[in-house]
Amino acid sequence: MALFSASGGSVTVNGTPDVTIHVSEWSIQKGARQGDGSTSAQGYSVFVPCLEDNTASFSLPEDNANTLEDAGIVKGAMGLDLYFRHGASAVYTRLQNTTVSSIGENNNNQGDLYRVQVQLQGGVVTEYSAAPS
Amino acid sequence: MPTVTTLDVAAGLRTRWAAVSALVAVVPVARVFVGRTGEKISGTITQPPYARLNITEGEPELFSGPAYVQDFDIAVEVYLTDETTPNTLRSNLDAAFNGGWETPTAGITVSNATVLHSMARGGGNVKPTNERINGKDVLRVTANYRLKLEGNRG
Repeated sequence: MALFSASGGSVTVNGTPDVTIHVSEWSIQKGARQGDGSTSAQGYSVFVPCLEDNTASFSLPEDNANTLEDAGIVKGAMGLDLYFRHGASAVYTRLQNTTVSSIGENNNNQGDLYRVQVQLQGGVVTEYSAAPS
Repeated sequence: MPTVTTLDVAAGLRTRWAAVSALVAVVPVARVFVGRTGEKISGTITQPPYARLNITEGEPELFSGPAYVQDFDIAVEVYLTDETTPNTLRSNLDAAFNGGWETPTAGITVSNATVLHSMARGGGNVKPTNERINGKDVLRVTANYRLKLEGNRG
């Protein structure tokens, strides 16, 4: 066993300069759009991945430093290049050319923080990518 | 930066207490204890009025960077024999520790932390204890608050 602790798992926006966003959590769903490759001769359904189709999200209590706006994370932003760090390890999942599909803001007066949730759609995933330079 | 402890919080609350003259007039800050009440003050047995701060650490909420957020639950208990005082005292406790909508920190500062807000919680009351001094009931006034702090785990 060699598990990763999630502690330290941030999101870095590759840019000039890079901006690291400290998050509560992030997640990626790596997938592909499926074409129907079934034939009646087979007698069961067969799906064929046609193209990569990924989504991702992260949430955070927004900080005065390294704001989402500083990092170019604004509604409808396209062509983003993000590195999702696996805990504090040197391993990242890279999501390039993705688009911000929505940004949710939540302000709960009942003793909570001001929180933001970002949803991303599309782009290409590179596994175990090196950290942005 | 060290993480925040209950003693950091206690020191901040005592400093805030000392800054509110209406509270000091009822209970001098030297009579505000953390945890168990001191048996003697200046060689004499401690009698009301005095106060006790009971502070409980909440579960920290962690982020990917060094910052974290932690709640501290504060239970203030004030013991006194003057039956005319409790209502005013209760208001003064809120003035000291219950953050307003525009001043959520209530003016509290804590070492090793940034105070995000201090808010009143339910559960406070005024009750006589089983003790009587010079024919008077010893009353206990309680008020509860929750302090939300941003710390740094390095």
